[in-house]
Formats: sequence, C-alpha cells, structure tokens
Amino acid sequence: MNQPWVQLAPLFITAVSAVLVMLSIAVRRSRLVAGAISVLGLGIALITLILERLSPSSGALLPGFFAVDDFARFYMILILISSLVCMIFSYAYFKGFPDMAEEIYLLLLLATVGALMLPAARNLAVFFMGIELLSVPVYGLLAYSRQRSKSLESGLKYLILSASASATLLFGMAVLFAGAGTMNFAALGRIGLASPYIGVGSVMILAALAFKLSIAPFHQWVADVYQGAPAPITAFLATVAKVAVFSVAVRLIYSTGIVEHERLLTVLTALALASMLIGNLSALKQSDFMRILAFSSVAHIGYALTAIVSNAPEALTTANFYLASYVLTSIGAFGAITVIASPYTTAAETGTAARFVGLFWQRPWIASVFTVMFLSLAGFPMTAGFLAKLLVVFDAAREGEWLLLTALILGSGLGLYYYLKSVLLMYAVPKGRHFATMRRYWYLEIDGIILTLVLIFVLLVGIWPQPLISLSAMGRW
Amino acid sequence: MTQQNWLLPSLIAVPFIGGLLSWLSEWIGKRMPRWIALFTMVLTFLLSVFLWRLSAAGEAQPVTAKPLWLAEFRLSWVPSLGISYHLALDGISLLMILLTGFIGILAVACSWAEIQRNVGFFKLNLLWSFGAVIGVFLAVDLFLFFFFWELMLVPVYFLIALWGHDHAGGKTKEHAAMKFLIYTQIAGLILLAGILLLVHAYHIQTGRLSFSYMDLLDTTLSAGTEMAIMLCFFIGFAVKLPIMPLHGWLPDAHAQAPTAGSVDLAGILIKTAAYGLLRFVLPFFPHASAVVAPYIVVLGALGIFYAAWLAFAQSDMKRLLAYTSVSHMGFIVVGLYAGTLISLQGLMIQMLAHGLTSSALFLISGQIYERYHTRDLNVLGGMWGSLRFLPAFMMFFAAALLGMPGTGDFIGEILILFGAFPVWPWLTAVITFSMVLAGLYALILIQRVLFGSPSRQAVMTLDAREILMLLAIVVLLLWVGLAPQAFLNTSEAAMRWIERLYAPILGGWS
Repeated sequence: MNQPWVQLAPLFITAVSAVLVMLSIAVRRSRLVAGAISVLGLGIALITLILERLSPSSGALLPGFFAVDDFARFYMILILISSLVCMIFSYAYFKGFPDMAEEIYLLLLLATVGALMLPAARNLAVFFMGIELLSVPVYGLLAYSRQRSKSLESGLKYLILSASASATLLFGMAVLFAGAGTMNFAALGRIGLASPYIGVGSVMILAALAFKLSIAPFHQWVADVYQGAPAPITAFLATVAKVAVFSVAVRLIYSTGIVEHERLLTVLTALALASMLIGNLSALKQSDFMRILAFSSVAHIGYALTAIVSNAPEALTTANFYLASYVLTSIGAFGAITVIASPYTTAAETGTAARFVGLFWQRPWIASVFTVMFLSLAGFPMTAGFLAKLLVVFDAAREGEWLLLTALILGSGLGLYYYLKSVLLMYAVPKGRHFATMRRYWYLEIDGIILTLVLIFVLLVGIWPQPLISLSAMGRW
Repeated sequence: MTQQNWLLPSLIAVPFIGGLLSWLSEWIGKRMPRWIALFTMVLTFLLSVFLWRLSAAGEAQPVTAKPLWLAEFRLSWVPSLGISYHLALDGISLLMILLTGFIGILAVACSWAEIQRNVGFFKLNLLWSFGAVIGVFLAVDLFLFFFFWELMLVPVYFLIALWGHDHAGGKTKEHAAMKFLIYTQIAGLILLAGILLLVHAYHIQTGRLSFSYMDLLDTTLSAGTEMAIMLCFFIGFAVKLPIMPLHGWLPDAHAQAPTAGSVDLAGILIKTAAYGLLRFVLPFFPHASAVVAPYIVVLGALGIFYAAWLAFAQSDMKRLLAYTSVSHMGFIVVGLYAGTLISLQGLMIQMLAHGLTSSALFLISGQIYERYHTRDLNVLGGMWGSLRFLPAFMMFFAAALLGMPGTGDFIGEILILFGAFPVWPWLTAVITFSMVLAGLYALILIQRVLFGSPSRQAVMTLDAREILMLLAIVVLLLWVGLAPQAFLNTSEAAMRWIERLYAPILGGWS
C-alpha cells in the first residue's frame, strides 16, 4: 500500500523535468539535452503511474480537489504517451530551426502538467487551474516558429479566442458558485441543477469546454490554428489538449448530473449533432491536410460526445475507447505530416494536398501510414477507428438515439468522401518529385520507428480489440 | 462443438497472403505478380472444389430448427462483446465460393494484358476483394460478416479509381469510384445499425451479448421492432444488389471500372447482397419479410422492366450490360421473396448463371476495348467480319443473357417463374413478358456490335488465353444449363431450411 502522495508523482516528476530543462538551458543550450530530459521525465512519470496502478494508494491526498482514480489514470496515461510522442516528433521537426529551439520542451512540459491535472480534478478551481496551465504554454508553442506569419497568426488567434473562452468558463463557474455555494463536482451533483443560476453557469461552462474541444458551433478557430502552427504542436493540441479537456468534461457531465438533466442534455445533443454535421460538411471543401484533419477532429469529438449523450451503461467504456483510438490515429496522421513537412529540412512546409499527389509511388511506407490513418479516421474495418465507431453506433442504437444515429451515419458518409479523396491523391500518377528532399531513411530514425509502431497499433486494435476494450472498461470511477 | 475445419480460414487467408506476395513480388518483375495472383486464385478455386467434393459425399439431411453446417471453424475473438471468429459453410455459401474462385481466376486472367501500370498493387486489390468476399460468404458471426462486408469495398474502390477509364462524357473514374463507395458505405452503416439493434434485442431477451448467427436466430421480436430491423438490413443489402431506386451507382461504376473490376462487380460483388438477403433477412425476420414481400416484389418487377428498357437505350456497351445486371437482379428479388423451394433453388442457379454470363460479356467488352479503344455502340459494328472467334462467343453469351434454353440462365429464370407462380400468379405472368425486352437488348447488342458495316478493315484475332477463358465459361454455363442437378443437390438442404422458416408465413398472409 502506497502513501497517497504517490498519486501526485507523475505531476511532480513532469514539473521537475520542466525545471531541469530550464536549468540545463541556463548552463548550455542543447536541443538534445533538453529533449532527453523531457522525454526521460515523461517516461518516468508514465512508469510511476503504471506502478501506482499495480499497487493502488489508499485514499486521496486532497479529496474533493484532486484524486487519481482508474478513470483519471487511463486519461493520464493517454496524455503522457501522446505528449511523449509529440516531443519526439518536434525533435526531428525543429532540426535546423534558425532560432533557439530548446524552450519548446519547457512549454510542452508545462502544458503537460496542466493536462495531467484535468483528469483527476474534482473541483472547479483545480479544473480551471489545469485548463489555464494547459492553454497558456500552448499560445507560445503555436507561435513558436515566429518567422512564419501563419504561425504567428495561429498563436494570436488561439490566444484571443481561448482567453475569451477561459473568461466565459470563469464567469460560468462564478455563477454556478453563486447558485450552489460549492465548487466540488460531487457536491454540485448532490445539490442538483434546479436553480437557474446553476443552469446558466453550467451552460457557460459547457460552451467554454466546447470551445476548447472544438465542438461546433465553437469550432471556427480550429482550421486556421491547426494549419498555421508547427505540425508537432498541432499534434499536441489535437491529442493532449483534447484528451485532457475531454476527460474533465466527461467527469463534470456525469458527476454533476448534467447528463440526467433534460434541458442540458438537449444542449449536449445539439452540440453533438452540430459537430458531426458541420465538421464533416466543412471538411468537404478543404484542400489542405491540416484543415481536413482539423474539421475531422470536430466531427470526431461529435462522435465521442454521442456516446456520452446516449448515456448507455457502457457509454464511458465507449468514450474511453473512442478517445484512445482517436488519439492513436491522430498521432499517426499528424506524425506523418510532421515527418514529411518540416520547413527546416524540406523545401517548403505545407500540408497542401496537391503536394501529396503520387506520394505512394515515391515513398510507399509513409503513404501507407497515411492511408491506414485516414481509413481509421473514416472508420474502415481492420483499423482502430472502425471498432471505436462501432461501439458508438452500438450505444446510440441501444438507447434509441435515432437523430444522433442518423447524423452519425450521414457524417460518416460525408467523411468517407474527403478521407478517401485524400488517400486517392497519394496513389495518383505523380507530378514531379516533391519528396526528393525528404529524409530517405526516416523510418530508421526515432520518429519513423514511432510512426511504424503507431501504424502497427492501429491495425492491431482493429484486428484484436479485446485488450483495449478491457482497458477502457477499467477506466471508470 | 463440431470439428474445426481449417480449410475455411485458409480459403480466406490464401487470397490475402497471395495478394501481399504479388504486391511484394513486383520488385522482381512485372510478370511475377501476375503468375502469383493466378496461382493464388487457382489454389483458392481448387480448395473450394475440394470442399465441394467432400460435402457431396453426405446424404440428404433432415430439416432442423437451426441450419446444419457442412463445415465449421470457430475462434474466440472479442469475448466481452460476444464476438467470435466463426466461419461456417452450407450449400449456399459453398456454391457462392465456387463461383468466387472461378470468377477470381477469370479476373486475374483478363487483366493479364490490360493492366500494365503498378501490376502488383492492382493484384493486391483484386485478390483482397476476393478474399473479403469469401469471408462474407463464410462468416456466421454478424460482426465478422460486417467486417468482411466493409472490407471488400476499399479494394474495389481502388480498382475503379486507379485503373479505371475516364468516360468521354466528362465523368471521371474517381467520381464513379466515390459514388460507388458512398452509396455502399452509407448502406453499410444502416446495415450496421440493424445488426446492432438485433444484438441489442437479443441482449434484452437473454442478458447476453452475442453476434452469433445461431444465437440471434432465437431472438423473438415484436412486429414493430422486427419490421424496423428488417428494413435496416434490407436497405443495407438492397443498395448493393441493387434494387431499382437504389441502383444509381452501378452503371457508373461499371462504365469506369477496368475489365477485372467489372467482372468482380457483376460476377460476385452484387451477389453478396442476394446472399445476405437469403442468409439473414429471411431467416431472421420471416414475418416482417412476408409483410413487405408484395411491395418488394413489385419493386423488383418494376426494376426488371425499367432496367431492361434503359439497357436497350444505352450506347455504351458496359452501361448496357450494367443495366441488364440490374434487370436480372429483379428476378432474384422475385425468386427470393416468393420463398418456395423451387424459386429459391432457381435463384441459386440464376446467381451462378448470371455471374458467369455477365462476367463473360464484360470480358468480351474488355477485349473489344483493348482492340478498338471504344465501347461506343454507335462506332462499333461489323465485327463479324473483322474479328475472329469473338463474335461466336459473343453470340452465345448474348443468347445466354436472354435466357436461351440449354444455358444456365434459362434454368434459373424458369425455376424462379415456376416457383413464384403459385404465390403471385398475375405478377409472374407479367414478369414473363420481360423476356421480350431481354430479347430486345440482347439482340440490339449483337446487331450493333457484330453486324453492319465494319468500321475497321484489319482482321484481328483472340489469343489463346482469351479463348481459353471464354471457352471455360461456355462449358460451365452449358453444364449448369443441361445438368443442373449437381448444383441443385448442393444447395437443397440449406434452401429447404429457409423455405420452412419463411414460406408458411407468407402463405398465411396471402
């Protein structure tokens, strides 16, 4: 039996690594050292988290504020793994960066600390702290390659919009507190949502969460930000930030009883519907991979939300599985773009679809990675995305959510169009050799190996999903 | 627990592994993938023939409450959802697999010279689509079935989109491929919703999650639920078959597909939908099927006439053939929902015969296209004098298409009509007149391609590979047409089982 403080170990270790990175930069600037410290720190944090799962600690250190349960652990592991992978991708991506590149790790570590707080948050205050600690370093990260105006635009856009979302969140919390007199999730759940204060507060909080998760109609920022940011940072925003905010949203929705509240449930249903339809419709006309992935992420959060809204007995398992497979697939897709489109190693960075024409015939391996990831996002069999979507459809069908089910089916149909169009591009007859400057033996380098591993996992989960389903089923409170 | 029969999973594995190998073998040379693919499909075919020989030995079985399988294979897959890797074979699936193996050989052989670009990847897609189709025919776990059902689409999409022909009218091959995929994919998701609802109903009833066919047969449904789930299944299959208002994708897909893709589509892929109706819709939902049967049959009959009329009006040879497929699938719908043993057996023969006939005609249109670079009936003509061997074959297959006695098509159609007559005498009588239209489109095809003034003077001939392919189909078609008993015996037990479930209910209603 461990001491309760062991629960905080992953947070501490990540925070300490941030300090160490800062110190190492003061001593001597080296991308390798900074990167190694960060990766090592996250690795140790991951190991302590898993060890702690094997011999669970007794009680919580800060009950009512911060408590690690199986649900939190599941999402913390997801966060740590995806953060680790994003760091490795950014190491290769920022090679040859014409300015100081070490602070990336610092910012990434800080944001990871914020992300790690969210799944375990039991209190509005911790929730807000985590979300701010997660968002503020991201502003810097998005604008990190400041020589490019797109990156600056992306950072600024996110800064302004995200800050207003945070303000909404804070105001919502204040209204909620005024009505309920407590900030504890469980206590809020006991009080119920009858008072108008609490209702208004909840809606404001939901809107802010919808912004952070890029749920339609709060999704307009997503395409520009994804497109402009450095690719590994986009990956971070799309995986770590999404997962963390999603986990706290799920806990909030369940433990405060929003999911049983008729009107608020209608709001959630409308959000899920809008996300699935608007996300997929907006992606149709895009010709940039980053923008396609951005809008597809809107749709995917809509699918995950469908599971929650259906409130089926297995909804939590489904949502966990969906998020895990979505993170896996996103890492693969964004990772592949990272490998291809670093502005510092190739001629020009861009996710423009036209540049991917005929990729398969020049670089079959990376094109295969793209193909599998896009098929997984589209929900084809033999991939993780298929199983995930199946579970969602199952939950929606069980609870008779016909409207959501229809939107899901329609959305998937639309989704197919743009995913397959993108895949098809890579198999078309090539027009010139765009990828001549790409690293030739990238798959022997660390980011290439990770990408191959992701590919294997996506297929493995698609073919033999039982282990991940069991893990997801474990991730409850 | 019956004995594990490893032949069943190997039937699926062989095309998948062969496809991978032929893709990798492209490193060695262009010829290698072709030989590997041919060897793979021949091996698959031989395996299925071997299974056929094995099962032919057994004597007639009594009709039981649950279907009796000739062979089974079962592995646990996702126990928490009640999903297992469960394959099983009965007479219907056996015949379909035989057909798949044979058409597979044809598809590989006919793309021998046509496909010159990225041969290995082409063969990969072709073989994977066949592997998935065999999976569809063997799966008796509904999840596994859906898995293969979806899996067979992507390779076909690539076949059309990457190696297809752009149509002169402005539609691109990508457009056709996308249309095909979106139609079938949305239908697939509706089917999935149906499957999940059925599983859910079973779950409520027994407290156990199971996707197993045998378990789900026990589900008792209220009339409304049964109707809803049946419609989900029906729409899922109707798009693929295709039944008339849902057929929009088929002519485009055919017109733009490479020859092997068309052979795959017409010969096998659309048969999976008929198989699905036969295997799942009738046994799972006999009551709801009986209620809607009159409407669906009318739809099928309308489809027969409508598509035949459209076929008659086409100027592109492949589009013409595509519409004749739609028309023939109307017969299959009628036979299916009539549900007598005779009509069901007829529909089985019709599937075999139509698979062979339409494949042969698509092969021929491919051969013409390779030589004249057009399929436009307004341009073609006078081939009787300028092309050796091909006109005779074409004459034969066109005759088969219109249901000439002696060919398998005749047996199929006549059995369907005989079988459906006691159930819907008037409708059947009306459908008989579609034979006139069939005669019209078959004759217009022959007349416009073979006769008239020759557009080109040079006399061309078919090579040995092409003659061999067509000859093999002729022999098989005559076998089915002249001595169909061997095929009828194979599927009889399975069909009798379906008839027992469905026919009494239909009879009670009408």
